[in-house]
Amino acid sequence: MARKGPDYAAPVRRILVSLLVLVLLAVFLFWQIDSPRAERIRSAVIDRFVPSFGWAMSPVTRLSRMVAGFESYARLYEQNQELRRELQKMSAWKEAAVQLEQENAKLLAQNSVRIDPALTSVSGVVLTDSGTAFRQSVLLNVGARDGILDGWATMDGLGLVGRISGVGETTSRVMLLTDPSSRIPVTILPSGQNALLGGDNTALPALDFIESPENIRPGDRVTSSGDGGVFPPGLLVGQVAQASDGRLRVRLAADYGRLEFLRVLRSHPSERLADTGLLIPPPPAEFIGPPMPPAMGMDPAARPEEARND
Amino acid sequence: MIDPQRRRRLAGQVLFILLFLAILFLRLMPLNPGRVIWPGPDLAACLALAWVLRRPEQVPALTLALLFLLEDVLLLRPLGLWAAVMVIGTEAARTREQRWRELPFMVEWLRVAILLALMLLGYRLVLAVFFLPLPPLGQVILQYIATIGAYPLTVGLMHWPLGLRRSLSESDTRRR
Repeated sequence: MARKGPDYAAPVRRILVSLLVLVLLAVFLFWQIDSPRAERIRSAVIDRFVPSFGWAMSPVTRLSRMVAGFESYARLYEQNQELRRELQKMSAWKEAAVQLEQENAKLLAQNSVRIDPALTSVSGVVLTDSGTAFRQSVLLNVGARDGILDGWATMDGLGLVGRISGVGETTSRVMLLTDPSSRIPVTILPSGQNALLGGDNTALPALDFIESPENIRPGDRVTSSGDGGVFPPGLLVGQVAQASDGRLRVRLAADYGRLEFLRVLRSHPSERLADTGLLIPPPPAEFIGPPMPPAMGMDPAARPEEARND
Repeated sequence: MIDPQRRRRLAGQVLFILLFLAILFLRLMPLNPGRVIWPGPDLAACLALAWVLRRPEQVPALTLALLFLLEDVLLLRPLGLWAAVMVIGTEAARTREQRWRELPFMVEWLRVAILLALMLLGYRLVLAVFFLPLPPLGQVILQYIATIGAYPLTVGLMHWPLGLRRSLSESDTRRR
């Protein structure tokens, strides 16, 4: 910054910088006004930018996972004991599961129930983290090219993880259940009550709008309820847990912290019964008395209702 | 061909961009995706402020704006807002850079802390005015403390391997 002669550079620079700030604020206003379009632009940018990182990202991630694996060698013995105990428990569960499965198959055959055939899935690999502690989301390597749509449910092997929010051509973002803006309707199982599961940036999302909390105890199963057409019903979410402040929260079944492969469920919107009128009996006639005689000289096909009334 | 001063400026700029992208890359890496973590320091903001207070000519406002806009896009923040706040903040630091140059590091640290607090406050204020979801205050304060704590480390790292120290003499870049 040589200061020789009259200094024209400083005022010009100041104007340019204010223009720059104005442009940035205009971007912010654009995002504020036309949020869907701005989010589409955002996912397009991510789509272009992040997969090009992949070549560098995967070795580093692999390396750090290997280090974590080596750390776990240190407590190999304890882990072995733990696994043995769990295996014992599991064999008891397996027996129970087999019995239940047989019973279930029998009952289904008796009822000839058709389980929803529309639930197929697309699997994807987690590309990146959300990068901040304030949002909880991951980026998957499947996108519009693979037929992913906004709002589809995402699971890991066991439980619900979140839902798709933002689809690029080859990537899509999964908003996790722990994200502060995630709200999904759930059912708490033995009591069958409905509630809303809202993330708040903690590991255990909270249950809201429970009708009678006294019927719920820690350990109850929580599944998605399918209300509002957000998710298919009956996906396992987790178990109820009680926080130290007495609030009911959910311990998620999905293995958060080790999300590597996720399944995106293709859920097709269930058919809606839009015309409620047909389910309700037809309205009563306007007046009490004998039915009107068909109008003279009129085409009877034009008044089918009255012709049927006769 | 290119005179050495300009070349040094360009090299510094490229180095800054590379460091910024490396920080962004580290933040995005899926080490434990899904786990709720403590908010770490905002190293990118640290780096930008420290660099502006040492080599203001190497980090033009346009570069900063573009880089922070990219960060906004990738980290799911409201587009453009933090970038605007960051440009205003670095401009405030840039105009005071010559006056702060003679002061000891503790004073610079204190002033950077105040500046960063004002920037976060302004950001939060705009979010509140537009009825956008506010990040929880406790976590923001934790992140602020972590960022302030990381500032001397950033400066130290810049000082030692990169050879960037505050130019005590007039801002000719003859001395390395």
